[in-house]
Amino acid sequence: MNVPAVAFEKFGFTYTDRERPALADIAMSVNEGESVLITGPAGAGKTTLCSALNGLVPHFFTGRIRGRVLVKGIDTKRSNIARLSHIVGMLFQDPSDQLVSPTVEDDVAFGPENYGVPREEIQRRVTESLALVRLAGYEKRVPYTLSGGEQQACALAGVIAMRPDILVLDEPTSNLDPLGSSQVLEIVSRMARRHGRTLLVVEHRLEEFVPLCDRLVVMEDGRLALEGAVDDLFSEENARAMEAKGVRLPQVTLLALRLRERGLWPQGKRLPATVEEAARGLAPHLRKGGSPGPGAGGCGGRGGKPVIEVQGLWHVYPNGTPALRGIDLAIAENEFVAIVGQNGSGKTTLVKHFNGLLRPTKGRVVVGGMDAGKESIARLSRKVGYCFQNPDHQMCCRTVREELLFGPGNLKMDESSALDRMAEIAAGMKLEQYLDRGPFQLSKGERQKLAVAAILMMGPDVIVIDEPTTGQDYRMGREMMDLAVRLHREGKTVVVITHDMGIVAEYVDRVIVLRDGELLLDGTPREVFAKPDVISTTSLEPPQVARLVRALADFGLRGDVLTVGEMVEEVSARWAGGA
Amino acid sequence: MVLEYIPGKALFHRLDPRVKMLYFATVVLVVAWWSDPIFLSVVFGAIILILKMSRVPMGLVTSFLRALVPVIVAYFVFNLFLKPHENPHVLFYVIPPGVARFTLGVSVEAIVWSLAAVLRFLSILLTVRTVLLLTPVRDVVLSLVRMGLPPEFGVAMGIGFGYIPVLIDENRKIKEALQSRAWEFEYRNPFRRLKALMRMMVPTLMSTMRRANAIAVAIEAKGFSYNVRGRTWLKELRFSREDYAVMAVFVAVIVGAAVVGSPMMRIATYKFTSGLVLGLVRIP
Repeated sequence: MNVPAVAFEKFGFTYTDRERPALADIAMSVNEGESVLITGPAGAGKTTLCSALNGLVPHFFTGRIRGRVLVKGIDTKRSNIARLSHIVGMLFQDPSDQLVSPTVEDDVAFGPENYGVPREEIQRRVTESLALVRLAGYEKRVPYTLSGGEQQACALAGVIAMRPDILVLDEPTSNLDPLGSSQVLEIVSRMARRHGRTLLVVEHRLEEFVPLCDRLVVMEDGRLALEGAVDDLFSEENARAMEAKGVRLPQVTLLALRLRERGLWPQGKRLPATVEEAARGLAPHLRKGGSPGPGAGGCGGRGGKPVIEVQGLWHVYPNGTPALRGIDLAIAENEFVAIVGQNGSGKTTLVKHFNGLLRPTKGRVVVGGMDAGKESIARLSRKVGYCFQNPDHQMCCRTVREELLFGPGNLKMDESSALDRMAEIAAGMKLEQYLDRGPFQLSKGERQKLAVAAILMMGPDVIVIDEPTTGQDYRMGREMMDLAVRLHREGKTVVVITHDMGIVAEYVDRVIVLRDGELLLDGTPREVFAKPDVISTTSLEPPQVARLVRALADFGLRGDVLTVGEMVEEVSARWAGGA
Repeated sequence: MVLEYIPGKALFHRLDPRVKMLYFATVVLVVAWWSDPIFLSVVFGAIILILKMSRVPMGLVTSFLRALVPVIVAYFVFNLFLKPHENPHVLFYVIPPGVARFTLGVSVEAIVWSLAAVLRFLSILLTVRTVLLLTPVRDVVLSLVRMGLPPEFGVAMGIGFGYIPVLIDENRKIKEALQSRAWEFEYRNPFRRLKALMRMMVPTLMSTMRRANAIAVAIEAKGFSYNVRGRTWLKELRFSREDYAVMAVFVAVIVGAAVVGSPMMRIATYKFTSGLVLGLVRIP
């Protein structure tokens, strides 16, 4: 008899301090050697589902259980975390929460040490695991000094060293930059192909992970909303259902759906998830259209009055590393700008000069007529509001109300006008009902809005938002970007730092690409994505549609297509039939 | 400061961490028995020599000593008046006889004694620093576990040290977030400054708690509570021949210091230098 690797039997779980169940009626089994991709919005129960496998639920996170979970036939309720962790290895989202040792090799050894594995065997596993994640030679390094991708690779090596039969990866790339994500993706794809290991991955990035998995599970409100083989879930009907549930479908899948609506995509076939699949599906049906059509041209509204001017900016950190090397740029009033680049390219260092958190080593930064190299941070903060990535680092008051009035109070602003402004902003952000609550009682999405609201209270003309979508689910990220769009429409200058090329393509007027502390590209998204060879030197990847255009270069599609809508028109214009 | 391990391959680097602790014990014992600045200068010189042999940049040592100057001065002055000496040869009075019901004078003996005290103090600090600079945290933890510290404490200590840079980084972020909302930290008045820092309490506590919880989950998921007493360690501590040789040297030093500093010999006490000075300068 073949025991499934994992079996959920009508499993439900309610955390001790909550009323609503986090999981309800989960019935699913995973066979040995299968790889399953789990997706769904924040709060859908994905992490709870993973935690139920190694016993964290219910032995660490306590609560009420219904039904049961069997891991290789063992009832998790009757076992314990330590014993289950030997079977189920788990990688978490944030690498800095899992690296617990002073050196890389100690960290990888940590698991086997706990299980009393003999020293020689530990040594062998450390060497082997580090080689597998391509970190051989990093043994004596301090985990904290590694890049995000390397840290996650190190954490993964630590899980592999325990030799688990089942590997659970809970959003392994959500906290990483594109380079780190592709490192981790590469490792996962190599492991997924290894025979016999059962793999469960929670991810939002279907585009990359779908090709690695056999099965797809979409969760919603603690239940399995859709579940089946990947081929099955990428049928037209199921894809539409996924779209309706707010799953971030790959751009090419959306393209195929939109084309189907016009009767243009071949019927009865599985929809594509990757650029290659889409190109293969489209090529036989397209007419060659001669030379590439002209682009739509620049559309950015530049040329307004500059609000931030950066001239020959250098910044050298005390340890001697130059983080910025001669940056020149000007940002005009009411521009919507994205600053992109790998971690360490100098994005955050640059924007920290806008409100005086950092001072130029050389060069000048002028903000609204003030010399940002000399002016106090407090005075600059009236002009430039800086929203940090993690809202929890910004909450310092007892109530939401105090939190909102904190900035104006520090600036000694007139109290009645501050209260007026609070009423207005709280209403606009739907925070009114929370004014007397503690900031930490809000949900993460609400806390992030509160952080922005607290910055807006100081009335800045320029809003800098640092990575509004990193570590967020699709819906929360979208809400943040919609907020940014609103602020822009109200006349604010908006600067976002982001890794998400989808955001860049869809939202902003202008992209500034940094590489190694230098300005590499500066233009409209169309102009920037039309230079794929330059972008590729930063390991940033243009959106799928832009890559599809390149893959179909022979057909003479317009070179600067960025969105699904534009692509639908381009393809329709060249459709040769055969649907 | 705590995590400034400097990798290297010199003799002291190679030693077993327990031998390095014996080194520390040796210095403590020697400076406890000896109170003469000339003898103590030799000890101090030896400590510097060990640092030099281990290729520690001298800039690190001098900056460390420079930072200590105020403490050293205070310690010196404090020691001038701490110990009553028999038949002191007073150089000058801070409170001369007749002014108050007691006198306060500075004698040759007191100066020599204070010099010795400062040298003792510096020797011990510099030894601690030497051991920390030349021993990876893991080895410190491991030798403590070997000497009887329960393994769970050892692991916790290792995690604690490992997270110091992460916490420093997080603290910086919290500070910058508050500064971006016009909160002022740079006060001259230390009390106002402290009050300003208190604002960081809530976000710091929240993020520390969140992180502590996440770490607890992560180590549980790696089987930490499987069988703590039976856990093994990747690195094993074993004494090498070199270790035994060095230990023998340290033991010899301890014995020698005890003999030289013993009440019978009375050579390495501060009276040696005071006598020398008095003999040379002939103060009545």
